[in-house]
Amino acid sequence: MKRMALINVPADKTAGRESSIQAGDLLIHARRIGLGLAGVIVFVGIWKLAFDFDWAPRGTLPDPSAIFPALRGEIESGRLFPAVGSSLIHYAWGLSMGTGLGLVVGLLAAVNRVFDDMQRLLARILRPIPPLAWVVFAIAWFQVSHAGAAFVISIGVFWVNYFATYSAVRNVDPRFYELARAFGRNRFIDVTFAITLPGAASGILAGVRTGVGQAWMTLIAAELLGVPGIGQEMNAAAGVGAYDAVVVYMLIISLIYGLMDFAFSLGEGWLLRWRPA
Amino acid sequence: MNPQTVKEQPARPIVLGVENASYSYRKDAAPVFSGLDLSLRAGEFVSLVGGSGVGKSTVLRCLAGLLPLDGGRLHLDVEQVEGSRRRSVVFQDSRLLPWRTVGENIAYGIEGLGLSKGERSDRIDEVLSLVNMLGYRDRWPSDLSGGQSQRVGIARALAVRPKIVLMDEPFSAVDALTRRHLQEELLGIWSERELAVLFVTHDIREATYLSDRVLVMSGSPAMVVHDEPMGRRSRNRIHEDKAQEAAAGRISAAMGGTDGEGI
Repeated sequence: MKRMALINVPADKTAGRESSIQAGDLLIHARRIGLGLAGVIVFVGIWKLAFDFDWAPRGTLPDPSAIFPALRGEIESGRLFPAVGSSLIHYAWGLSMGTGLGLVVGLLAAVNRVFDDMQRLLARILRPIPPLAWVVFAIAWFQVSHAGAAFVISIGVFWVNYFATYSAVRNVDPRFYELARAFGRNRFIDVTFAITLPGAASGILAGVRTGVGQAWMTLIAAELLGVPGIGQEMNAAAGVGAYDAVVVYMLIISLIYGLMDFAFSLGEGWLLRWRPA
Repeated sequence: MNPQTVKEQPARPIVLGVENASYSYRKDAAPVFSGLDLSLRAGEFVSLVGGSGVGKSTVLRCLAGLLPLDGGRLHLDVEQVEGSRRRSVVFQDSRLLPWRTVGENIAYGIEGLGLSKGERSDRIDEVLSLVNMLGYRDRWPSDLSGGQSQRVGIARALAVRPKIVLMDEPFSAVDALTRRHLQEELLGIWSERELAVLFVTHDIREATYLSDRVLVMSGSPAMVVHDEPMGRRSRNRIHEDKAQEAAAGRISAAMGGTDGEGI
């Protein structure tokens, strides 16, 4: 709007151009949504063909049209919501612990040379171990419990956030630190909150967002070991050949993740609103 | 107060300076400068000129306390007044924090000075008005032009009410017309606030136009090889003034006849 005001264009012409731009944008959006829906329809069509012509071993691939009745069944049986609630507990704890620790350790490693040298070899040793390999210890330490599932989830999330934070903090423009010194603002906490974290925010948030997805991946696997939740329900359904219910839970995960990612993108957009559009 | 009469008083005290100063980036590296003497008096506008890479910005950083001298002495003789800083810096790249609005960027400099929120807010308006940017308080730095960003950088430096302002080629990245406006504004602010300014530039014409005194840095390790006093009277007649042209010629010769713009 600022630019519009600077260019000396009659108001009516500006308005006309703006509305034609909006109409063009709308068309592009509509086309994109239409093609997106078409992609889904094609996929479901192939799925239906695969079901009708038994491309998978008979009984292991549900009929797409059976999914909505299966959803109703899962709700009516009272299994769906408790499972989702339980999974969300694991998810929230695992995600927040992994994110918090990853941020703190990544930040300290990036700003403190001694700590960085101390942790580097350790990180190389521990990083390649898949989160699910820790299930054995999760069971030993926490038994089959919410805490055990949260523990396994937090490991994967930790590494994602640790690496993202480390590299984002290392890439903060050193000139901003000089500015802080020029204005006598040298205290570690002050520099961390006024320069380091906002300067690294973009990279850190990208890590947090990846962690939000990573947590779901580990969550299902962690629950397969028997902790109540979506993973356990999927396992139980597969055990009795109710593959339509398995698909219901898969779609529920997708829905919850989609909502969370959308909410996250709104928060991220607000936090990084200073970035040029 | 008439700045021109002020400038002609000879015995203004030295507020900032270095004596026999040396600095090198690494212990085993050749010094950037050595045996350097430089002083800035209260209310004085001094430019430091020299070729690219001679170490002008390094000297400025040492004077700002951003780099420690390896040898020699640094004087800083300004009373510390509550709610102010003795010296402040304007950087070449304006260096606004992109995640803070214009007002918040200015606030950054004064947040540690023990001012109330209201006092900080008043001070932000005051300096924004000095640099003619009053309507920009809530804008993001990414919305500003180069000249506007530099104005905010100057406002941020002034908000701490310093007695000394160190400026590192602040106008080198703006177009000629904007540069001219900014130079005029700076001179107005300088005389109104009775600032001591050390102005690093590679542009001899800018230096002779703005300054009471022009110091030339040259050599490796660098030293101040020439100290050219400038008359204030002819500031607005630079193009006609033969004395100014002669001074610029001497400065250029002291620089080795290289790298001076506008000659």
